[in-house]
Amino acid sequence: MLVTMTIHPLTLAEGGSNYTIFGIGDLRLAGDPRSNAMGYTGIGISDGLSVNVNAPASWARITETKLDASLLHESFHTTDGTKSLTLSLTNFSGASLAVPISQRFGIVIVGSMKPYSNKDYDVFTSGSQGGMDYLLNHEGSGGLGRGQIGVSLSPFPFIAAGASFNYIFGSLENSRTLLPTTLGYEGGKTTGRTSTNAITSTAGVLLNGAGTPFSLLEPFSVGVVVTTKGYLKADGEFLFEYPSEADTIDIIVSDIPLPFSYGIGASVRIGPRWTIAADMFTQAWGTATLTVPTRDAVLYGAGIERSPSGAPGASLLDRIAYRVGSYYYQTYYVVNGQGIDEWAVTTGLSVPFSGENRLNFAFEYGERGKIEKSLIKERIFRLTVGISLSELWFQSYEDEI
Amino acid sequence: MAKQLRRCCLSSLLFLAALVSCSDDPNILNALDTKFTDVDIEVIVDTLESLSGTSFRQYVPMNGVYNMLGLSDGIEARMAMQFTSGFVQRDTMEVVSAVLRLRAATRFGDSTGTLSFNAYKILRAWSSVTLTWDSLSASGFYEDGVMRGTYSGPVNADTGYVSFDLDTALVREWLQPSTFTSYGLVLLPNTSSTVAQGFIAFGTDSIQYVPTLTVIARNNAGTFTDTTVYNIGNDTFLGNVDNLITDPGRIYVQAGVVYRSTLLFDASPVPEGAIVNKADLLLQLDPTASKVSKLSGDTLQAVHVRTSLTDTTKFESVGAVGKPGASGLVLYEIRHGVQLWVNGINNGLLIRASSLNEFSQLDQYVFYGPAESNPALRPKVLVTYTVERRR
Repeated sequence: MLVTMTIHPLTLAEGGSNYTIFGIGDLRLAGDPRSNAMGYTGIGISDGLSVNVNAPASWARITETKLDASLLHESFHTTDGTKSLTLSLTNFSGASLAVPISQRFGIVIVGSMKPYSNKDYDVFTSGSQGGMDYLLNHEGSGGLGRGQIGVSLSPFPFIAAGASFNYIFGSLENSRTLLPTTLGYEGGKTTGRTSTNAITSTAGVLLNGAGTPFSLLEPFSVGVVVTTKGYLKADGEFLFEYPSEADTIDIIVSDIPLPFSYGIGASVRIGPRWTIAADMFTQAWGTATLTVPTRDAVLYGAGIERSPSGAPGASLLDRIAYRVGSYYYQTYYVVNGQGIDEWAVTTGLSVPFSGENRLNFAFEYGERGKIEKSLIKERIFRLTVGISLSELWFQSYEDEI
Repeated sequence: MAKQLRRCCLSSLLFLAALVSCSDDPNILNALDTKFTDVDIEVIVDTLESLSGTSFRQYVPMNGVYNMLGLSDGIEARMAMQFTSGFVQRDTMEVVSAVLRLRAATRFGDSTGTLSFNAYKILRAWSSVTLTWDSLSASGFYEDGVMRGTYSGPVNADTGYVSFDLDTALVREWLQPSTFTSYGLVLLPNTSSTVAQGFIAFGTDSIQYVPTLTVIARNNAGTFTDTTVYNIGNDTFLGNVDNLITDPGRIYVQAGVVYRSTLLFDASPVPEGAIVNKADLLLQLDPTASKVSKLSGDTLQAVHVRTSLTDTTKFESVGAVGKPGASGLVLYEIRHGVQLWVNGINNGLLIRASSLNEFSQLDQYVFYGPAESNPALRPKVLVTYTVERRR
């Protein structure tokens, strides 16, 4: 199922952020719905309760086979200070399958499919040149996805490592429709399509204080994750559509660099049910050569989780996980010389519906951009709905040895 | 569990669908004042210069609504006609008289001129939709030595009639289809003719004005006389002009003969991928060299996009039309053609008289061509196109 699943099979989109007109669009940084709800953290969390595809080392603590899938709904209320526009889209947000092979050595194999970036904009501009008044409709769609296969290993309780190969692929489409409003002039539509693919690899290490002889460190975990640089090999074509003619030109498109990235995360467990986490993630877009100015993307996130009670007879409310967080995100967009920043507060629930099977919800409210220097400001609402199915598979045989 | 799971998933999807419905429809009314699109456009107004122009004769059948006949300004028009039905086998009778009547509809040349022509018997099968000048004028097409009728008189008003007697022996043959094969007759202007007259052809909307043949016949005993009018048949005309192309600085469009012209333009100033918003071909008429009938109802010329660079008969059937203004300047909207040129398919243009004129008149339009010494008079294309520019 995972192999045949494409990245955007379920698109109820009517539009997204106008900032996605640049580069490869919005980066999808969250690893799973739990990460969404906890301020995009998770690199340093080592409890194995979820499959964070961004942190391979954390998979070593997964003890049951897990199948996760989720949808992301985004709504952008955009304003230039005078007019405003609300656009929404719903996309497939990822699916993953984690299969523990050896609980003793933390060997867990994970395969996943997840959006890497999303482009979805619809902007009208107007002008007058050469005696012709016109409207110009900029539209963009598509995005990149990431297919991932990886494995984790934990030779000792205090350390876990993981690595994965990532296949980044997808297509980006940008079109302009010229609509003359002066009589006697005809318009047309140009569409640029770029198909890309690249391979990167990710490696991570997670240190867990619980496995060390120092009891003081027992609640702490620290994780690091690194992803190599990649080059999206690009094939491009331009499609021209005129009132009675059409033409297609194959164009040479420069490879799109996927910069090196790394993240550091830490978490601390307070008591049996509380976890506090903080992450920093950065990707060196400032060194990438695109057709538009860029800067390094940096995300700082922090979150708290109250884990569900495992006590027999606990009430439903007590068996729900509650999460809250916040992040500050310096996006890689540089527009009119201004870096575009985003912040958000996040929250979420993990509701059991059968045994350890859960429905996960994450809510985010954030803002991006500003109404200065011909920029626009966006109020962003995101809702992630995921399902997580767990079942014991191979490790029962391992435990019998 | 499965039921619970289905319920949860369904509820979630319904909730998401409800959220999606909150979207606005982006349009110019709610368009944000965004100055940060990565691509903008530049609209450029430019002039494309003509590279070459050629005039040539195209042998095509006419079969128009009028049949021209006569001789004027070196242009000769011949007419072929054949009555095709209504004749019944009458072996035992004689033709007393046969009168052919044609109704005038237009004229080319001097309004005080003389129309003079002779009628000859056609000896070969022909069709109005295939007959061309070269086959009409070929040896053996008609019976050259025996004149079967003649007419000479002042040119008619455009609503008058021309009537003349036909050789009764010829018409007698037409009444014996089992004995003789009838191919009709050809009307050839003679040297006395100084004008060409246009007559209403078979197949026009009203049969009231089509050619008629009135035959009076009687039986051999002379006891019974009968008059019959025939008005169903085929006809066409074909024109010729020698030495039309006299000035290399001109391009020629001649109806009725037919002469057409091709033009090729340099589209390289417009980059591939540009959107052609507007493109007008400008041709300047040379009024002193042109000869246009005042009675021509349609003085339009048509400009077609050629689909072959080498075969002049291949062009798009739908063309742009235009007619000279008071200054002699003609404008044709050729945006579609220029867009094709920009896309890399540049076979040039074909200029001809419009169909109504080309197959029913003898009008002659002479335009300044690419070889004209005055650049201001040469054909040119004014083009407005749009290219994308990265900000």
